[in-house]
Amino acid sequence: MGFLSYFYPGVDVTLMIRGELASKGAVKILKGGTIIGSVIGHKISIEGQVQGTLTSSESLEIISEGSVEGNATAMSLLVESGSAYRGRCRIGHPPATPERENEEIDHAPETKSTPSRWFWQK
Amino acid sequence: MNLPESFPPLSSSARDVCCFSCGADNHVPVDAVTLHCTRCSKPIDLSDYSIDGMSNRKIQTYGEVTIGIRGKYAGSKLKAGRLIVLGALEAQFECDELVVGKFALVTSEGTARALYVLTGGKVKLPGTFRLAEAHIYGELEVEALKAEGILAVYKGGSLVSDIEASSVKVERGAYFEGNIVVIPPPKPEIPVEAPPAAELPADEEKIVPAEETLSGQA
Repeated sequence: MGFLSYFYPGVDVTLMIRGELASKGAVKILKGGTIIGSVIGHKISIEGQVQGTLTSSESLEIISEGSVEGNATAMSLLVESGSAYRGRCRIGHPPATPERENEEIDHAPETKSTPSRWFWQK
Repeated sequence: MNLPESFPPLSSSARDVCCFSCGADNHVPVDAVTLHCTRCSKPIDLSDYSIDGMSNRKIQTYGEVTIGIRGKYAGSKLKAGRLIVLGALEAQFECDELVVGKFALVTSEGTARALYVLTGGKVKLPGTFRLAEAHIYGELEVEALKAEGILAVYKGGSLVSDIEASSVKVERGAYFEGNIVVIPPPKPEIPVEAPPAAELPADEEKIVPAEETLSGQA
């Protein structure tokens, strides 16, 4: 119970942990492993159970009979058929807004887009 | 239009179509263009349509309906086997497959078995959208999305919705935001078979409860 940080090269969990698990490498919650708390890692793979927040700087995979209840942030996500997930997710970065795209397409006159001189002098 | 590699053909050799009038099932070869219902004899349209301007005529077909880049459909309910939208769709739709191409815009309610939002395509739907599977290369914004099968957002695609599916895949370079519910399918119950009586040897000793043996010894 408490905070566990393990930085290199990764961590495989087959026990029950209450608290925060943080790793700079890959985190694998194997079958039978349970985490009640948050998990931070580069690549997170879950075959066991997690109740808490998941934060991955790369990929999050819930495979086999893995089960997750909690919010997640990652760059890619895979929830396999047969596994369970319930929570709010944010994956990747939002695409460029259409207004910005239009601005790039509709070339405005240079006089309008160039900042005035006093701005740079400040 | 560049369709994804995994894009399936509409049908292989034959298909079942349901009569628009009486609801009877009719088995027809895929090449058939016209058909009369075997039960009510009313015609069932199997032909393809292409809409290149503004249209609001009633279309009910099991063929392919293509709304061209400059096309716009704003009529009553549109029924089609495969509905390819390259322009604008502002009418209720019911189709087997909905393909939304580049620069296309879908802003109406409807149902589809499979949804393909291609790169550059945009779908904004109110309410809950139910389907079998969804493959998103473009942008999809819907209040709630319920898929019986896979829900995949590929590189460059974007999905903002609360989703319920049997499996979810969001590739690197794609964007997703919303609540996810993935429930594993119930495991099939394996019936426990009792060993056949014939397999037991005839002279095997009967298992007697401990109490009986003790009382017998006393």
